[in-house]
Amino acid sequence: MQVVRRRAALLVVLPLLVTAGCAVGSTQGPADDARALADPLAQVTSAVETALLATSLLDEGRTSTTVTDTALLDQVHVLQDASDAVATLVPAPGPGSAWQSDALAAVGEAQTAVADARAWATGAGGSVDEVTAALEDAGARVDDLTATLQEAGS
Amino acid sequence: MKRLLGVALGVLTAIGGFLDIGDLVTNAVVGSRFGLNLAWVVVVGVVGICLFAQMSGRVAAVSGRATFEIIRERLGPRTAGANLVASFLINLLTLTAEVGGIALALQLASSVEPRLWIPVAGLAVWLVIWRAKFSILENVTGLLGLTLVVFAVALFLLGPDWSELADQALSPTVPGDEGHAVYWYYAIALFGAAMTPYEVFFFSSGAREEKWTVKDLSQSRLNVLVGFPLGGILSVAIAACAAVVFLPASVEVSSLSQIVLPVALAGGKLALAVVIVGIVAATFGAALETGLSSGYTLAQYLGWSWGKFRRPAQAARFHLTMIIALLVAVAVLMTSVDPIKVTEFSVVFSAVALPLTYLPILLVANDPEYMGKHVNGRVTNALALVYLVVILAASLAAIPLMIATGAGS
Repeated sequence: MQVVRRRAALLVVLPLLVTAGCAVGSTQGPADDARALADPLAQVTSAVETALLATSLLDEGRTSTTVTDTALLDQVHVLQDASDAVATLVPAPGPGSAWQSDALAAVGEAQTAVADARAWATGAGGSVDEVTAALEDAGARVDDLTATLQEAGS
Repeated sequence: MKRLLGVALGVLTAIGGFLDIGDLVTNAVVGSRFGLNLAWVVVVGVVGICLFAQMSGRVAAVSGRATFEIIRERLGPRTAGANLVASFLINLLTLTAEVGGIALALQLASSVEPRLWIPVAGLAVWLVIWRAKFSILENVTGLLGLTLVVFAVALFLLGPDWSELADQALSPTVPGDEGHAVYWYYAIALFGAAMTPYEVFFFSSGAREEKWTVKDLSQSRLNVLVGFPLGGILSVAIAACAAVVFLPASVEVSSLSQIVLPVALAGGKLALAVVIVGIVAATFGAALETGLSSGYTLAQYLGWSWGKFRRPAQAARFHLTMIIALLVAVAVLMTSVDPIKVTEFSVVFSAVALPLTYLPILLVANDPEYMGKHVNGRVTNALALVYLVVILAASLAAIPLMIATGAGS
């Protein structure tokens, strides 16, 4: 009977301990923060590269405004998801907080660049050179930060 | 000459009808992340669907019964009822993905938000199911879906490093930045995309719609054995286009608008227009097939009058089922759920549910009481048993891998 009770107690306590282990800031270190930030930054790289391809195709007359607009709009959503993922991270004491701020700034820059690209694609303003330069700058910033995070996470 | 044209039409329809939103999305996602390192799964999936469709078509033609009539007869009402619930829900999920796919494709052509296209797409699917003849709806969408051959043309125009692609396809490895669990999760998703259960419900019920007999077996075998592998080549072409354009740029495919960009890069606006027509046709055709499959499965299980060969008034419950399924699909999509996510889930759950229909068909295909001298031969049975193991393994591993990998993220 006692053995059964112990087993029952274990069944209750074990899930509680596992769940409690996932509480904010419980086991995280800088390497965990770096890895957690690298995933949304990969999404940002993907969105910026897609936006670059879509704008260059429109500039060369190889695609339509509707397809480019849709592709850019889809990347706006991807960047929003990435922004949410970065913003909701609770970093551990150490460099995590600074990385998070850098990542938020990088995502913000990418969001502005993609929004500007969409404005250019739909004829609202801007030039293709400005749009491309902004996207490339945003991409370079994300790449630099990703390299730093990969070094810290390994 | 007329017979030759009939054979050509059947093969072309099978090629065009092979691809749906699941194949489009899964192949592009896999190509952008793994290159052609998972191309072998398409080969495994195509051989599997050829085997499965060929068996179910033969069973329908010889026994005069479609899939769910047989499942109920063979397994009894209780077990078959559980089977029906799972199959119907997964078919509904696939229908939802296909209607969402039509809306996304129309967004590419118009820039109009998909939520505005969803009710239009649902209405159009219902109207065609209600009004068009079975042969017309099957052949027109299949032939228009053939325009997706533009992916293969685009691949040649992109001028890829063929030796690198061949190396990925023939000596597959798990790319360094992807884990083994994610690799196998996507392997199952690709397998599920190639072997979707609705294809078999539609194929076997279509055999009844078109009143196949034993005499039609050779043509049905030709349609499947030539048409589906050629459709599989288009699947690999979609993955290869994504591998050539997106993999080096670290782009992860997450939307339909990305899938068409390699085609635009290779062939310009004309190719882009052709691929959009192809995607609309493929998703529309698949929505018709899944819509009909929802009616077929329920009506066959419950013994209702069914079939497009009957006037709607003579098969009222069959048509009502399809209307309700379409309304549910439209309602789910109107909640703003991402159709691409629905598609990703639908292909994985297709793999989960596959044994439910595969096993009864395999049993009946070996039963002389139903099949007489047309039972499976030794070679077919050996292959079918190997596939039974593969299907069971994929079915059992799908959900644990989905949980472990966060659905491949």
